This record gives sequence, structure tokens and C-alpha cells, in this order.
Amino acid sequence: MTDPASLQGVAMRTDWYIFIAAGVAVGIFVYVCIGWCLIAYRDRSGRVAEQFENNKPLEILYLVIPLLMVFALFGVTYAIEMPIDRVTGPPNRIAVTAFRWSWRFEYPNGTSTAGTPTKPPTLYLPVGRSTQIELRSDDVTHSFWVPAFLFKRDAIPGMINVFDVTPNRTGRFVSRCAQFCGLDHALMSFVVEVVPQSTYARYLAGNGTVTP
Amino acid sequence: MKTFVGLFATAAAFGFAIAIAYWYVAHKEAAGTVLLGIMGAALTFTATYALAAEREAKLEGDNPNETNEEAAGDVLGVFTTQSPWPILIAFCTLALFVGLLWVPVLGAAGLVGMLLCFWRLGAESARV
Amino acid sequence: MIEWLTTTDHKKIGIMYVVFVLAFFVIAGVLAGLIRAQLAVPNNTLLGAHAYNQVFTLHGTAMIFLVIAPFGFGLANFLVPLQIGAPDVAFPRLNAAGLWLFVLGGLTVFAGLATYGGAAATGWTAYAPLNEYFVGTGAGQDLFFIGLLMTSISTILTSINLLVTVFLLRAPGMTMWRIPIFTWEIVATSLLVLMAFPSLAAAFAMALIDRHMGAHFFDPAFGGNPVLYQHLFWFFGHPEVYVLILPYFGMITEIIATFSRKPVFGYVGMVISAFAIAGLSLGVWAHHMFTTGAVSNPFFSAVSFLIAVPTGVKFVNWIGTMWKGAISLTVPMLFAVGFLLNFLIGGITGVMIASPPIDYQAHDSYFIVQHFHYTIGGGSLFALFGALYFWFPKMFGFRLDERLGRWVFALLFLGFNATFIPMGFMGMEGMARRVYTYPAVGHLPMLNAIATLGSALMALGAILFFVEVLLAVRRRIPAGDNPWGAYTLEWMTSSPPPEFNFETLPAVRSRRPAL
Repeated sequence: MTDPASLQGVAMRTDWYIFIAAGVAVGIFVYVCIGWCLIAYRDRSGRVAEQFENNKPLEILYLVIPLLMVFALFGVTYAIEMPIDRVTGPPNRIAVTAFRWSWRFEYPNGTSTAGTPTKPPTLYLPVGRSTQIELRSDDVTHSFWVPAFLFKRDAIPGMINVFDVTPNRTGRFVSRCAQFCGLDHALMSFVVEVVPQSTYARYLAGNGTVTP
Repeated sequence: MKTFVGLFATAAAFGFAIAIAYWYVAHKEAAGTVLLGIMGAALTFTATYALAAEREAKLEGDNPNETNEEAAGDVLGVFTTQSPWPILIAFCTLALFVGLLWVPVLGAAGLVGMLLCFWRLGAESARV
Repeated sequence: MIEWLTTTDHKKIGIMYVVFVLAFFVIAGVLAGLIRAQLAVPNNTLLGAHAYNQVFTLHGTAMIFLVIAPFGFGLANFLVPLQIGAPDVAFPRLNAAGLWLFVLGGLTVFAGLATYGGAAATGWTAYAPLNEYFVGTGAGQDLFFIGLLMTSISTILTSINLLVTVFLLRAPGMTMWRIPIFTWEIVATSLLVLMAFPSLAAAFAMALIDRHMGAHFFDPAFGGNPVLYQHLFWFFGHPEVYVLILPYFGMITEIIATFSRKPVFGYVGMVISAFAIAGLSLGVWAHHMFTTGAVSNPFFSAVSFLIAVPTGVKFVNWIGTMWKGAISLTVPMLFAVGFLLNFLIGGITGVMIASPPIDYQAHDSYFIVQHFHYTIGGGSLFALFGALYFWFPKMFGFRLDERLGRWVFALLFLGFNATFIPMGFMGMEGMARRVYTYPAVGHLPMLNAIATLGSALMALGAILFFVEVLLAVRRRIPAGDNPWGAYTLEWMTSSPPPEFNFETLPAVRSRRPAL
């Protein structure tokens, strides 16, 4: 599993771990039952199959237990998801616009950079601070996916999607469009570079001419 | 037959219930609510028809102890073995769609063809 | 030949469904091979972008609409009247029309390959507003829409036919609570089709009107809404995947009961869970839209989790059917066991992605590709093969070879898992779906290479299956009425059955009339 590079990503990785654990437990249990049947009840000579077709207590049990399990899983999901989807009003707001087939980033001071399929653009984010991303599309539906943040959100024409992200470590993270958008969808990537806050401030002050 | 009624009535109730739940939980999202509501309504139509039909229906299949002798003589329906009209109707449907988009003459031909097919189908089923 | 083109006999129609399904399966399989060949190494140049986009679009469209869905209805066509003791379906001519609409609709979708701009290349989901681009040179996209409108009409008509047949044409003594589980699953599937398919027809009709008549349903520049398309499409799309699995649940149930020598465990639970699944499936559609920010994620997440419960009921009932039975691992039973092992993985990954925090990473990645291939491929496709081996003798009167069948199963099972296990990891490493190439980073090259090798094994298994069919046709070893010692009514008539199915109808007094 990717080592998350954002606070929200850490929460989402916890969700992954819980579900993977539950899934593995259920999987092993069911596989063992099936294996047991195939071995213990193999049709050997003289074997007579027991003709039963009900077991009311058992049937109620395996209706109730999975119900309780999914309630618990939903509770976990809801608790983890709500803070991630919640949008506050952090001062650092970046407008991201997707188009066929690259990205444009507009920073709070008006600095703007755009890329091409062969020259993916870089999105600079300050570490340890919350950034609000406003997602737009110029043409068809795209999707802003940063695997290192374990997160994506669609860029839909006619809509503005807003989300907050707080990177928790510096680094360069390859990212990409995730919603099929036509011919060069496969080449529509970008880079998220998380930099120290001072570096970010210098980048903004230099209007994007001083690359960190 | 009772099962038929029960099935559609339960499904209709479920359709309405989930439409109402969705309306509240999804902050009055229109597309989903309409789709679910129409689904409930459509199922209600069928359930109502089934309820009335059920009183008159006497299906041999519903009697767990029915024998072939008791059921003999009932006319189930007419079962053909050959008919050219289905495949022709399929071709006319294709002509209709292609015609609507690109070749109006073909669309007209498809429409006329379909009418002809149903005309002959009507004669065929009345004959048998 | 003319006899086959104008027949209204449900058995012949069912067999033709199977034949056309297998033909489309070969084509869709070749397309899958092209995908895996292109993705075998990073930055490959076997297929250009536009070619690749058509290939994966046609692969998905064909497998879903022209293979898995019609096989369920085709088998139902053949089997349901036999299982309930009816002479044919309620509307034989309507039945035939359904078959030919399916065949012509499928060919229409592929006819796009012969147009100037090529076939549809927007994915089987054909999202707006992407589906509104290239109107002038995009005849392939239009052919996709009208071809699938035709197959949708076919499915709706067939569902009506099957519902009426089951409700009204049951033999004396065959009450609704004695009909086989396969027939019950078909009832649930048919009801689901009637509720869901009209939404697809609406979405496609609106897209065509946008494309050709200057409307702007989905065009935001003029006040339209792309998300509306997603709502209409997925209101159909999610029930569609249950249409793709419920008949196969039924096939698996019959096979497991037969080869465990036991009655179905929890018959009533099986029936109720089928309808619970069908009903709930109509309330989960926007779990395909978690990342749009336009839907209530908690509502759809909660209902999606709930669907796991009746599915779990079925799983326990299958195991309960095997429990303390006398299990013989014939080829159909091998495929049934393969189904259980594979579908479980599909189900577990499905519960995972029902959780939006997980889906935020997994959506539109190879993790999703793994999930739906495990359910539709590892599940439905394996059940399809099991059903073919099981009912082939009844359809044709002679058997498929058991020994070769084991090899087919082994190749398919190993190949399938080798192909799709790596994809979960590809997705977690950030590989998006619907991409004609990927960079040489991380484990992606190795994972993709393994997947391609696995697909080659699957291809071998499929080829061996067709070889086996040809051999069986040559040898014609007679099968007899009931070669498997199975329990339901279709096994109490000759193989193949006579015209109007039963010389004399047996008395039906239980769920296992052939016992």
C-alpha cells in the first residue's frame, strides 16, 4: 500500500486496512468451509448423502451476523469519510482545470501553469498546511487522481468540485487523470510536488518563475 | 398466482419506500427519486391487475395435488413452431433505427415493413 | 436452414442464443488478447490510442451485452419451459423476435468498425459529454447506441415472455414453491430487467437526440448536465450486473445440488435473497459515482453494504447444500467450485469499494477492473462453462468429454487467477483503467507481464473447449435422459426433448420430481 502523503490519506489507509482484514478473515473462513466439504464429503463408495434442507437457527444466525458486520463496516466508513469530505475555508486556494489532455493550475496570486501530454505540469503544494482545490473541466469529465494521497475527485464540466487536502510530507508524486476522456487519456498525467512552506511562499512570490 | 400478487405488491411497496428514503437522504436529488418513484408506480399497476386477475384465475400449476387427468382439456394457448415474421421484424427495426439517423428512405421502408409484418402476424395468429 | 431462421421452438431458439453467444465470446476474447498484448510491456506500440480505445470498448460491450447477459436468457429460453413442464414459452414468436433483435443489435455495434471514424471508443459506459463528440465522423458511436437499443428491446421482451411463462404455464402440481431455483432466479432477473432497462433506453435515446437533433440534455454549455447521464446510465447499469449474475447463481445451485446428491439447502432463503438482491440493486446505482461529488455517498454506501447480506445467505446455502453430501467432482461441479472461489473474491472486493474512502483510491483504477472481472469473469463466465457442460447432453443428446473438460477447467482457472490477481496491486499502485499504455515504474511492468501470461493460458483453455465440442460432435456418445442423475423436471424427458417437450407429463409432487 502506498505510504500516504496527506493527513486524509492516512485516514483512508486505515479504512483500507480494516476492510482488508475483514475481507481476509471472511475469505479464509469460507475457503476452509468449502475445502472441508470437498475433502470430507467426497463421494467415496458407500457414502450416503444426508438429506436435510433446513436449519432454522443456522439460517437466522447467518442472516444476523453479516448484518451486524455490515453495520459495523458502515460505521467505520462514515466516521472516516465525513472529515475527508468536509470542506472548510483554508486560505490557500488553487484552481485546477482539466482539459483534453492536460491540466492548468492557478495559484492564489494569479500565477498560472499548464501542461501538455508530453510535458506534464507540476502542482506545488505546501507541506503541513491545508490547501483547498477547486476542480473544473473545460470539456469532458476528467478525474484528478493523486495515488499518493489515496484520493481522487472528478472534474465535471458545468460543476465545481471542492476538496481540502493537507500534505504531511514532502516529495514528488506522480498523478494522473482517472476518468476516460478520449484519445490521449493515458498520457494525461501531472506531478504533485509537496514543498516546505517557505519554498512555496517563494514560488508564489516569484510568480512561478522560481521553481523550487 | 397468489405468489405473483405478493411479489409485485411487495416490490411496489419497496419501490415507494426507497424512493421516499432516497428523497430525504440524498437532499432531494431529482433524477434518482423520479426513477425510483416511477418504478414503484409501475409495479403498483401490475400488482393491481394481478390482484383482480387472481380471483378469476384457476391455474393447474397452483394446485399441489393436481393430476394430469384433472387438468386435461384446458386450453393453455396456441404454440406455433414456425413463423417468418420475427426475424423480419428484427430487420425492420434495424432499418428503422438506421433510417432515423441517416437514410430516411430506409427508415420509411422499415416502418412500412414493420406494419406489414404485424399485419401478417395478426392474420397468422387468428388463423391458428 | 430456413427452418432455423423461422423457428419459434424455444429449444432451437435457446440453442441459437448459445451459438451466437459463443461466437461473440470468441470475438470479445480476441479483443481481450489484443488488450493484454498491448499492455504486456510499458510504452508498447502494438495498438495506437484510437485503436486501443475501440478495442476495450468493444470488449466490454460484447462481453456484457452479447455474451454474459444473453447466455442467461438463452439458457432460460431452453430450460425454463422444461423445468416447469410447459410445452413452450407463452409467446413463441415474441421469443424468436428477441433472438434476432439480439443478433442484429450485436452485429450493429461491431459494424462501427467499418465506418470512417471507427467503432465506438468511449468505453461501454459511453459517458456524456464525451459521447457527444465526433458527431460527423462518429457513426460508430451511433451504431453502438442503436445496436444496444435493439438488444435492450430484445431483453425486455424476453423478460416479459419468461415472467408470463412461469406464472401461467406451470404443469399440474408444479406450484411456485416447487419450481427449481434456476427458474426463480430467472423470475427475479426478468423483473429486474423490466425496472432497469428502460432507464438505459432513455439515456441512449437522449444521447442520440443530443447528437443529431440539437438537444442539450447532457451539454453543460447550454444548461445540460453530464451527471444526469450518469444517473440514468447507472440506474440501469447496476441492476444490469445483477442481471449478469442472478441466472448464473441459479445454474450453480442446480449443479451443486445435483453433484452433492442433496436437496437445495435453504430453498426459501435462496428465493427471498434473490429478490432482496434484485430490489436492493435498484437502490445502489450511485456507488459508481462516489467521486463525482454530486451524490449522497452515505446513502449509496449503506445500501451497497446491505446487498452483501443476501449474497452471503446464498453462499452459506451453497455450502449447506454440499455439507454432508456425497460430492462428485464432475466437470460442471469443478466449474461450480471455481465459481465459489472466484466470486467470493469479487464479492469481498465489492464490499471494499462500497466504502467511499477506499473507492476514492480504487475508482477508475485496475482495482475496479479486478473486482468486476472476478464477479463477471470468475463468477458468471465460470458458471457459463459449468452450465454448458451440465446441460449440453440435454440439448444435443450426446456428451462432452470429462477428461478434456478437466483440462479446460484447469487452464481457465489458473489462467484467470494469474491474469486478475495482479490487477488489484496494479490499481493500488496507481494504474488507471482504460489506458493504452503505462509508464515503466514500480511493479507495473512485472504485474502486467504476469497478467498477459495468464490471459494466454485462458486463451488455451478456451481453444481446448472448442476443440472438445468439435470432438464431441464427431463422436456422439449418447447421453440418455438423465446422465447426471439430476433432480429437476427437464431430466425426465428425452435428450434432446421432443417437440412440445414431454410425451407424458410426470406428476409433480415435490421440488425434486426426478428423484
